[in-house]
Order: sequence, then structure tokens, then C-alpha cells
Amino acid sequence: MAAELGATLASVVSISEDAGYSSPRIAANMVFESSADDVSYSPGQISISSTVSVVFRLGDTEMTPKK
Amino acid sequence: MRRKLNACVKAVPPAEKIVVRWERACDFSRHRRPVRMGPVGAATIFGDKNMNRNSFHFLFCVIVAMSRLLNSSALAQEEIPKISVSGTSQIRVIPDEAVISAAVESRSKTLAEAIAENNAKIENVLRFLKESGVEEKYISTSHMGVSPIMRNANRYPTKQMQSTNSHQDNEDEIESLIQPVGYSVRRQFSIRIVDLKQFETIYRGLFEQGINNVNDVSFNSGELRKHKDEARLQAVRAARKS
Repeated sequence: MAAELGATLASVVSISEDAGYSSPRIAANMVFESSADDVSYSPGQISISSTVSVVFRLGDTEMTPKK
Repeated sequence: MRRKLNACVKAVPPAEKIVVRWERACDFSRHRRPVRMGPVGAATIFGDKNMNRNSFHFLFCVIVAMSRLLNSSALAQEEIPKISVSGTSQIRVIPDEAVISAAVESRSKTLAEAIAENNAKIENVLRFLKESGVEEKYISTSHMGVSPIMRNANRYPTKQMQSTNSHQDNEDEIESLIQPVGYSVRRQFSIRIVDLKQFETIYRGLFEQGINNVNDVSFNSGELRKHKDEARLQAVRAARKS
């Protein structure tokens, strides 16, 4: 976006992160429903997410956008 | 009432007796002399008819200086060109370890029997886990509890019972209700299985060794930190590209 405006990114002013994590889980009621002989399971996948917000100081700016 | 009021007025010292020498911040050297002020500072400045002109000069200088300072800092912030961007990433990884939260609960008529039975089962479970290759550092006791078992927890002496039965019958009935019929001993622990290939074997074996409560089973990654760093890096890259 900065390049489209003909600007360059200079130093970082601030940065923040919002991270998320979810792991597959067998709930207690599901455990009790299954017997010891039937322990087939599918752990699936762990989902890890991250959202980063960065505020940059703009460097050189031109009045006309770059093409 | 009037006497009390007059006494209070006399007790307050006259304003002229309080003299304050100003430390002048502005150029008031030519007016350097004591300034008479009342006991309540600024309120007196505006209320005193004999207020010195220096007070006005001083306040004016302070107000002008503060307004200039605020304006300059606000302008300095507005002048910095900035851009705010954000990036999101999501990665999925296959779990390589599991955590089982399980408990052994033993019930018996006496507390000693319940404890002994519980200890025996726990020993069996720990021996089995050791034989299965689970290291001691991956087994931790999270909760221990002992509780009495009542004959009927929902039944209490009622007024009807007290009125229909004789005194002796009532006492026997109440005594039987408040005496426990047994004891429950419960020990809960968590087991971390770092090799998921062993999960089925260990899970089945735990039941066979005496585990009778499984509260939760969760699947995790042993390299969670690394994956979180990777997700953050991807999000930063996405933010720079946006």
C-alpha cells in the first residue's frame, strides 16, 4: 500500500499481536461414552493463528503514485 | 450565635500580615519587592483590590508558555507521516503429544480401607506407566480428596418426622442420617504422552489398572513455541505486503 502511494516504509512506530490457539480435545462426556476397548481416536490438527498490527513511519513520499 | 461568629472572625489573622515574596520567572527585576497576598493564594489574587500588577504579568506568561508548549507537541505529532497495516496468518500442525487428565476413585466402608485400595491402584497405574516408557516427569498429581459418603445426601430430618415419631426414634433416625456409610478417596493426575503411537496402548492400560475417571484428553504439539513464532513471522510478512 505504501508503494502504491509512492512512499517507503521507515522505522516501526508500534507493533501489537493478537494470537490464537486451539487444540483438539476429547470432552469428558465423550470419554465416558467410549469404553476402554474402543479407544480409536483422531487427534486432527492444532490451529495457531496470529494477527499483527504494525504502525510504520513513512520515509520518502512522492506526490504521484508509482506505476 | 452572633458572639460565636465574632469570635471566629477575630481568630482569623488579617490578610495584610501574611507576606509572600515571589520568585519571578519573568523579567520583573525592576519590580522586585514584597507582594502582599491573602492566605488562600490564587483566590486572593483575583479578589484583592490592591493586587499587584506583577501577578497578572506572571500568570499571563505561564498561560502563554503552556499554550505554546501544547500546540508545538500536537503539531509535532501531526507532522509525522505514518501508516498502519495489519496481517493475519493461520497455520495448522498435526499434534505429536497428548495429555490425559484421569483419576482413581476408591470407595470403602472405612477410611483406612479406601485409602489402602486407592494407594494400591495408584501403584499399579504408576508401575504400568513406567513399564510403558512414560517418564516420571510427565506424570503429576493434580488433586487429592477424601469425602464421606452419606446414606442419602438428599434426606434430612423433617418437622413431620419429628412430630410423628417418639423422641428416641427421632434421635436414632437423625443419628443414622448424619453418620457416613463409607468414604471416598480420589486422586487425580495428568499424564503427558509424548509418543502418540503409544496413546491407544496406554489409554486402554490405564482403565485395566484401575483408572475409573477420565476428565479430559487434549492433543498438543511439543514445538508449540516454534509454531507460534512461525505464525507471527507470516503475519508480519503479510502486514508488510499489504
